[in-house]
Amino acid sequence: MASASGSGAATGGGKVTLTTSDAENFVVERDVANRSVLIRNMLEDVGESDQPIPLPNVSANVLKKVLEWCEHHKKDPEPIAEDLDDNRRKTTEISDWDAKFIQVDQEMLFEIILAANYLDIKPLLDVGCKTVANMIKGKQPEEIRKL
Amino acid sequence: MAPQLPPELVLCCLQQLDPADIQTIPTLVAAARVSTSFAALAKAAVLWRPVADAQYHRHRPPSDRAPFEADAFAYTASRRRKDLRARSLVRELQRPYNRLELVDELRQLGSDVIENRLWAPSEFTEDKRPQSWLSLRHWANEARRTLLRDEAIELWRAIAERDARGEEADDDFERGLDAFAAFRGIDPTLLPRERYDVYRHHQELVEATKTLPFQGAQQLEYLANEVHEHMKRLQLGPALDGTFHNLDNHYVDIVWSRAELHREGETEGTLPMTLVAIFCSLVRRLPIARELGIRARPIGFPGTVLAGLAFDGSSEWTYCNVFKGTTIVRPAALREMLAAVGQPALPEFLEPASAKAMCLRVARNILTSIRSGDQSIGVPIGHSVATSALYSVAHALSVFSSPPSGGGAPQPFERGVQDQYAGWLRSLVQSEFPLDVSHLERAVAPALSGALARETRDLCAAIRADDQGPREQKLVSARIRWRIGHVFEHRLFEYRAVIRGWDYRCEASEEWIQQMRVDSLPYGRAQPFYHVLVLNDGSSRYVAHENVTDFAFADEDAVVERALKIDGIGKWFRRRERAENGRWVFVPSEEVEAEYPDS
Repeated sequence: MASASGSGAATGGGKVTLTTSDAENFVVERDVANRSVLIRNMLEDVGESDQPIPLPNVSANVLKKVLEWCEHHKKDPEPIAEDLDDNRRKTTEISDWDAKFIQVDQEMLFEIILAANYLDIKPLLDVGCKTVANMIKGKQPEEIRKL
Repeated sequence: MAPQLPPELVLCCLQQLDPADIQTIPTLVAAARVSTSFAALAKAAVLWRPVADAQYHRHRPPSDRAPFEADAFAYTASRRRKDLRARSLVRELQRPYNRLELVDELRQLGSDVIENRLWAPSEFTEDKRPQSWLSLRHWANEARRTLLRDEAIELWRAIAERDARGEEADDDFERGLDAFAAFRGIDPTLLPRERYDVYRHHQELVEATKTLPFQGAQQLEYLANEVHEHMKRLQLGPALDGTFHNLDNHYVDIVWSRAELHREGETEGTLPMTLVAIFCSLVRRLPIARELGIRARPIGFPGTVLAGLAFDGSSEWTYCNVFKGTTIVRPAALREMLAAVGQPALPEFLEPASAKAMCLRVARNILTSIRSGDQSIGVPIGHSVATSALYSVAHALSVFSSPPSGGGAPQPFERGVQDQYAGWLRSLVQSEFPLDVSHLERAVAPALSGALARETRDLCAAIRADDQGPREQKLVSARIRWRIGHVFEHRLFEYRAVIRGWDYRCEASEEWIQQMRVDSLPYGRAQPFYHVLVLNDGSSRYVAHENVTDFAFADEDAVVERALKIDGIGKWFRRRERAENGRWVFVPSEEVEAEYPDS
């Protein structure tokens, strides 16, 4: 589990420090952070480094939530590069855990989507977008406008 | 205030709507009306291409790709308008007169509306359309079948034309055979996806044939054995003794569904032709066949059909008898078999047969089955199944025995054969398929000569005049005691039936009256006679007034419930209803009401 750490201490043993827009630091295992393609690419670019990674577009309360998702899904297999299936529809259902995870207010839901998009966490983005899709399904324009 | 999602993320969310879900179109349309920026997003091609594919292209690619590629939103809108129009045509078809103009309009909409979800059987239920669900279901079925038939006939014509040019498309054999099912209301385009998709349904066969050991002909033998074994595992095997001629054996989809029901234990099996068709269809789709260039074709051996496998460009065929336990048959053995039955070893017996020849063979086989009278084990062929099967045969024979267009004058023999098939078509259209009169006018009549041509044109004119109505009305007299829709048990024969019409006196032919000994009935031929629909099997009978009863029978609920499934019951009745005495009655359709306004 991600834990807030007051100090910007060095992160050995496969740990990474992430700094949020509101200047909080999170120290997480590397394979948790690797769920984010953005962070993974940054880590690959800079190599072994103790420098914290700044995430100026994500606030602490959102990152906490996102890391909770990453922690749970850290052992997921890499998504197969777009299946060649003729109808590669995203009909995969949201798992029970994800459904529970995404039961948040609308503001947080949109924040998670924005963060997942920025951090490039495709499966989390899909969970968020699918939840929005379920919210607007069968709704009238006025109801959608309120969202 | 919640943060706004940028447009690309709104699009992401909309893309998560399941394109196959019936609610997706209304949701996207609603989203487009939220604001102008939403409108642009909600009409995006990335959203509408999958929707159009899922809702309209499941079995048929777009008839015209250009509008689909250009603007998937506008394309989907036009497809939906077509579906809506087709549905309202179905509603209008309930009327008793002027149906032909509706059917002509339906034919203009063509194949595009066959997959119409608006007329799926689930749309016409007692709950959803309590007023006239039986009629609506009937006309939706008729509309769909009309289009399926048109498509089948069109395909046969294309095969015949190619054949005349000495050509044949790769799937002509498979599709030509499956087209017969269209006449029974089975959409033949379902098969490639629902049955033959090797990646979805036959993964183990794909694995088992990933690479073929050996070289040359031995590879073909290996492949043939694997496919044959796979079919056996699926219970797709030879017909049991005594069931060979069952009508259902000719239809791959029915055979396959039957096999699925009986995964354990013995199943009915089917004919060599059907097995060879399945065999060839599977081989054609195996990746290894494409990789090594292997063809699979039917071999028109006398008395049976074999499957042949050969490499592209080679005429060395490996023969497989899919109907028997042993798969591979050597050419020498085949020659011996021919000699044993006194047949010369003609090259055509050992070479691939044309799609046209196989279609003709199936047509004749179906005819044999109709004559034998069994649909499947213990089930006699019902009237509507028999007439649709016969109608498919008449069309196939007529198409494949016509001389190719522009092919010069037919020989006198050909002329005679053609006239015979035209005669069948004429009487079937007249008695069972009057809505297909345009086929007679356009495709059949022009090919006929002299008196036959004249008779056919007169018949077409009479069908059109009858369609325009009005027909004679029959008003209830004091002697007509039973109402239309009355459910009863026959006084003597105890079958259960429902009244769908009547005559003031027996109007059957003298021959029938004699045969049925009508004059020996206490009230003879002068009493009213009733047209009835038998509730267990949907057959029609003609019953004397005195043999209709009005006592309740024990299992009426169950009998009526089963009767709701009868193909064509909606032609006569719009729904069922409970009468005040608690018994079921059927409410007449518009057509019946027009003829019997006060019954």
